[in-house]
Amino acid sequence: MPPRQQAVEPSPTPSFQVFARIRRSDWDTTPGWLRVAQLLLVLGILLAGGVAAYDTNARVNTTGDIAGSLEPLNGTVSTLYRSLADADATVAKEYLSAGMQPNETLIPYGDDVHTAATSLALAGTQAGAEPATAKLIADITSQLPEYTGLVERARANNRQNFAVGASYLRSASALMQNTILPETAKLQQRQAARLGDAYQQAGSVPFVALAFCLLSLAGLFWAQVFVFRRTHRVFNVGLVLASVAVLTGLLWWTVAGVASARSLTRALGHSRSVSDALAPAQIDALNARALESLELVDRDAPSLEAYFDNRMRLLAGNNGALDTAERFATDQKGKALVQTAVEAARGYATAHAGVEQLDGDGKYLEAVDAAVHTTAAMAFNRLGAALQAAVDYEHGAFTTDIERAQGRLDDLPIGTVVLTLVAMTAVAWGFQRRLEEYR
Amino acid sequence: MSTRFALACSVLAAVVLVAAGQGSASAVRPAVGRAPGPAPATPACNQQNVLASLRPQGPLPDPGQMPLGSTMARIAKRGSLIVGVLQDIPPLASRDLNRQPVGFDIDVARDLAKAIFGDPGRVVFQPLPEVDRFTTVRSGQVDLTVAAASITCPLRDQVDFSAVYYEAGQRVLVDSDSDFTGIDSLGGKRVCAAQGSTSLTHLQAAASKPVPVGMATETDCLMLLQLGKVDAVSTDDTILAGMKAQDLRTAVVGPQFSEEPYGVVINKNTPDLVRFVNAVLAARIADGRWLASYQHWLKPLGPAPAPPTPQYQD
Repeated sequence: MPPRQQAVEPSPTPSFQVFARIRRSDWDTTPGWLRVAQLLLVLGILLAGGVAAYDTNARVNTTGDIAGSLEPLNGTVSTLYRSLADADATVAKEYLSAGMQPNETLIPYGDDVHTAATSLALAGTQAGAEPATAKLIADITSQLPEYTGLVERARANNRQNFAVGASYLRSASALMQNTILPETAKLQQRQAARLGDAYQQAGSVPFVALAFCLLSLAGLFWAQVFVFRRTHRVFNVGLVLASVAVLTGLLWWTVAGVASARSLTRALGHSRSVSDALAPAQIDALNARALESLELVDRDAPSLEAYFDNRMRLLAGNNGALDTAERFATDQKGKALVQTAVEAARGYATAHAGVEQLDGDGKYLEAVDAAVHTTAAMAFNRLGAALQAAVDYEHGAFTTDIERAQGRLDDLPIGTVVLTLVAMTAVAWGFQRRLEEYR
Repeated sequence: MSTRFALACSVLAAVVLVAAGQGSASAVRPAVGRAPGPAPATPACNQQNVLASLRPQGPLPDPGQMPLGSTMARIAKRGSLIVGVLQDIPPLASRDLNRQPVGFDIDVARDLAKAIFGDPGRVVFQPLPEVDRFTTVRSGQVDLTVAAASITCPLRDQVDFSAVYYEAGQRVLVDSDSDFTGIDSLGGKRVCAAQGSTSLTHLQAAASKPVPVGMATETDCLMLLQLGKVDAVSTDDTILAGMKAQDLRTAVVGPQFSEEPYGVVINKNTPDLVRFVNAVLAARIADGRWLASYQHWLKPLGPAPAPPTPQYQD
């Protein structure tokens, strides 16, 4: 090892000597330094502009992804979730009301299943190649026919007034509430997480691009001082123009970035208000409604009242879905809509207690009528409408904010490129004019 | 599909177990295990005296003329008799197309109301989950329960029973295309019964060693049979007849392998009501209402047997 080291050691010196020769002959003159400064600045601005353009473009793309693909998928999954829970509630109600008003609720159930199947297919294409999401979608897709099969058997038996129909209905509902809906919830959480990541990415502070911009500005300032010292000219029009271009870019960038990030944050708030609070609230309400009907259908099985109470707690209890929705609501209108839903939930709970009371008094027919047609049915419809109004409002607010966030960024990539070109040209031109004086 | 079904079933089963654990855990406790205490008013329950119910005293009072201070007078004052029933076990109890409770058990309840009020319509039917059939009588939520309840010593610890109003027996229901001929041919096969029922206990004790599957209700068992998840359903022949009516491709096979004497479930604190009910049961056997009810609901079981002979104690 030692001999080898001795052999290598002298080698660096010659290259330094070459450097020194070049430096002495070419660099160390005013025009030489001007050329170096020109080159460094043009390259620096190109780099800063490139990084900025890349960052902006990525930001625009991510925001576009949110608006164009992630959020629609989120919406599709929400639709799927709701239509499944709605099918469960509708079919139990239908079972209970069979013979009272024939086929009154057949169409909504069919629509729900149709919507669910369509949403699953749509989600499959929207999800692209995300394996975890694809697996969940495949699982739910394979369970849906099993669920509808049980429902059809329940309905066929109910048409004959056969008691075994109630068992099929309870099994179908158990499959829905204990397996399919939790899997759909997982799918929705997965989407919410992806969406959250995208928002984070789109709204983050672009430190690297900012650093390059500030470095370019510093470089331009240094160049002007240098040019002043060497040539005793106070202003170099090219350099001033370049500085103005970079400063403009920086300002535009900051203002648009901050404004866009703010709109994004608001959009995220609205989106999460739906996905984390209002959509779960809709599911809880529908599950409770299904249990209410099921309880009246299948009397020989153990009481489901504890499950009903639990659903209502998840909906309107402390730290329930509606509590969360109220925290997410950013404006008066949003808060007022959630408040309406809270009152509607209270109204439904009271109406359900009335059904229980009737049933407890042995007034089964009155209890069924209250659950299917009158008090509880109307209270539930009010709750459903209140929740849907809150969802629609938040969704509208989301659309406005995400469009605003996109609008703020719209001209930024092309603007960044133009400003970069302007600054580069101006620097090159400014130095060239000085250099020409040395010819 | 099978695992998911098993999941759904186990959820149901869990619900049953939780509910059962609250009230009827002592149902599985043998009577001999009773803690020693002050001498009971009635002699210890055994196979010989399990069916002996309190003897009716004197002739039945006329409807609307209940003895002063009696439980029946209290019920008469209220205006209706509250009866716990099941509603998914035709032909014993189910709802007709107008949602009115009907069936062999329901007839008993209506006759009891008729004896108190002179009006068989003065009865409030309180549908009960199977697991709550005895706890609701104990808590006083219902005056009495007519719900295919078999009289057993362990249950006598918790509630009182009327004299026997029907003698059912456990058999098995199988797919009519299958080769099963009865409980003896079902060794190692999955046979379903309701959780907490005497049927399940008898399955567990069966000599052929079938694999018992416990579900929340009897009709769950019929569903599993239709879905091919079990090989047979086993419960009282009365209920099996109702299942066969819901699925013509099934058959009730083999001999009865248990005796299921049905009694009206009554609170231990109302012995006067027990005596009154027994008087009504005896009267409806004597005047042919029992036979008429059998002909209407249980005819598919075969020609009417002799009505049960009541056994009494004083």
